Amino acid sequence: MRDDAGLRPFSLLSPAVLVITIGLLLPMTMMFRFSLNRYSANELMTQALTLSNYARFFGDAFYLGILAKTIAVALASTVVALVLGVPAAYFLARLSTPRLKSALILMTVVPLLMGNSVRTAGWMVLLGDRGLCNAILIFLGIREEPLRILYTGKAVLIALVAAILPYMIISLQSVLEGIERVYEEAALTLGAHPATMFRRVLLPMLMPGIFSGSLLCFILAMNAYATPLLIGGPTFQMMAPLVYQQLTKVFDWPFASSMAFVLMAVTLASVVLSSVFIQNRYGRL
Amino acid sequence: MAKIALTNLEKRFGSFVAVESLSLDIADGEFLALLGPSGCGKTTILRMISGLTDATGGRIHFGARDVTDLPPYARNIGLVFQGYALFPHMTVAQNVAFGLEMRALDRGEIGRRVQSALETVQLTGLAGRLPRQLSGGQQQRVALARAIVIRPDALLLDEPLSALDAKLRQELRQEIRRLQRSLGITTICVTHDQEEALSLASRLVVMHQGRIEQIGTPSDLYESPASRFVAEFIGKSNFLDGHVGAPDEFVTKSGFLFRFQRRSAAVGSRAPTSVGFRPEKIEMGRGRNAALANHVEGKVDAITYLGATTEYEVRLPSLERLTVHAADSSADPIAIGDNVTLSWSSEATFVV
Ligand SMILES: Nc1ncnc2c1ncn2[C@@H]1O[C@H](COP(=O)(O)OP(=O)(O)OP(=O)(O)O)[C@@H](O)[C@H]1O
Ligand SMILES: [Mg+2]
Repeated sequence: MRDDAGLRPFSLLSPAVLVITIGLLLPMTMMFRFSLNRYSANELMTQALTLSNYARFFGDAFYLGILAKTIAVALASTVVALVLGVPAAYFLARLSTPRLKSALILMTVVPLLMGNSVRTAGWMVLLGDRGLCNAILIFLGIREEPLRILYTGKAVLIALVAAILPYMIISLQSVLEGIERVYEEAALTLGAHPATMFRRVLLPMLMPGIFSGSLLCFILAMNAYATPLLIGGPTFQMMAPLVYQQLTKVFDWPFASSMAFVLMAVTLASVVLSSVFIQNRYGRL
Repeated sequence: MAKIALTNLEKRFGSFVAVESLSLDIADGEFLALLGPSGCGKTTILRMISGLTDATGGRIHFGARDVTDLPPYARNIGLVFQGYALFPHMTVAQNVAFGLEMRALDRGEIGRRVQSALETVQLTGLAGRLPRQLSGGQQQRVALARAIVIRPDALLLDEPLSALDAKLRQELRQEIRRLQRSLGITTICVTHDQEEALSLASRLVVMHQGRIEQIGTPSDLYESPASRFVAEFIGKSNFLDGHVGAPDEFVTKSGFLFRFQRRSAAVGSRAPTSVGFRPEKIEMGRGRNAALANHVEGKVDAITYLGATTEYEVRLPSLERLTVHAADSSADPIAIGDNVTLSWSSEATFVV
């Protein structure tokens, strides 16, 4: 007799496995194959097995610069989202009125219900040279000339943080809900100031939420498309719009594929490295 | 270690009064038990003493120090929570060391005190384990060690043994008592287990709906309960309704006359309405024991074997029922339907 009477976990997984195989692995294999081809202006690409596209990417300071900028912006926005998200999530999780709590959680996720581009357009209205912020600054006489906010790294960072913050807050809040208040109280009665209590007790217990939230946000930020395209404009470029541009404007499919692959590999490597680091530091999550 | 004084302590949640004008002095080194039914405000009192809940009125003093407005981390108390609340990401030793680290002691001193606290609760071998790798009783000991290692002014225990099985509970009860005696820590233990309260504490406080019903030694409360509530809460009692006739005589509605010696001061000016006596103070036999003051006759209705004693339900001619606890006399066993005479002394009789 089998000792596990229920469904075997694998049988539950199989539909997901099917979808992933068809929807993800297949296109990815194709893309990887494309990235080894050679670009041809006449016939899109010629069959080949060459690493020249990768060599071109890593040999050109322009592309490397954009990759570095992408990583930096993704890291920075994740860190800012974490710093903003922890107090917000804590407030949400410890709220004792259930109605207010549901309302606030709904408000947190409402931005996700709107399209990314709609939200980004909103930021453009706000941050543009003739946008709301500048109108106010000029009206108040704080500035004569409009302040350049749109099409800068700062603007991209602000908009990206706004885009990923809901994911961070929800990840943290769900873990905090499971941490009973009594642990905080135990630390306080043992003589810990609230700040020490937070660092020594809450933070380590919150680690799984911090990890999953940061991972999610970092991946989203690395691959962000609409935000850097519309807010970064031509002056502040990131990887995802760059890939798209190669694909649809230059029609260099092999090069676009290789860049997409680099972006994916770098994201994956960061994720794996950070998991290993965190597991070594804080034990199994 | 210090004397704890609560003066007119009060806690309201909105319009609901959880604790009402409570005044209580706990002597230095005393072991006090707070006893009462669920929801009577026991946890609320401990939380106010520890500073986790703000009192809405009254003062709290540890010795000469007024701590009413101090945050919990400035009070120096050892609180053992109902569910222990051990930090799950820290080992046993780290849990115990936490309070010492908050006091910025040097490493050597922390190590020595953790070691000796773990010895006190007999857990030296488990210092490196995580809380989830411990049994319930072991977790309880860690919680205790964590609370006493900081040498608190007061040790507060909130139903420390309620999650454990009967045998372990008894064992740990002895251990807590021994520990408290040897360290001389002023201790308040909340429980709704009367046996626990009677065996642990030198003084008991019985609470009812946010107020103190009676304070006294275990035998005070048992022998002269101040109210029917206390008498029913601590041990079992027989009650018959009626009124006081002569100064030491109670007349029941059914017409019996019982002599009593115990009349609780707490009854005050109110006229007592019931007479009470404990089931195990009653002598039951075929004839009356003339040495005792009170007697009734009745018929045995039901017999329940309880091990050490046997419980008899006796129906009086007036149809009132009394409970008697007696050792089963195997020479002349009493059976259901037998006519018996119950006798008990006036000292064992109280009016409430
Ligand atoms: N935060 C709160 N808000 C409103 N009412 C509360 C709150 N905390 C406790 N109460 C009420 O105060 C009363 C006393 O609660 P408390 O927790 O002190 O009871 P307890 O004597 O410890 O009971 P138990 O034996 O069940 O632990 C209860 O009626 C409870 O409903
Ligand atoms: Mg309680």
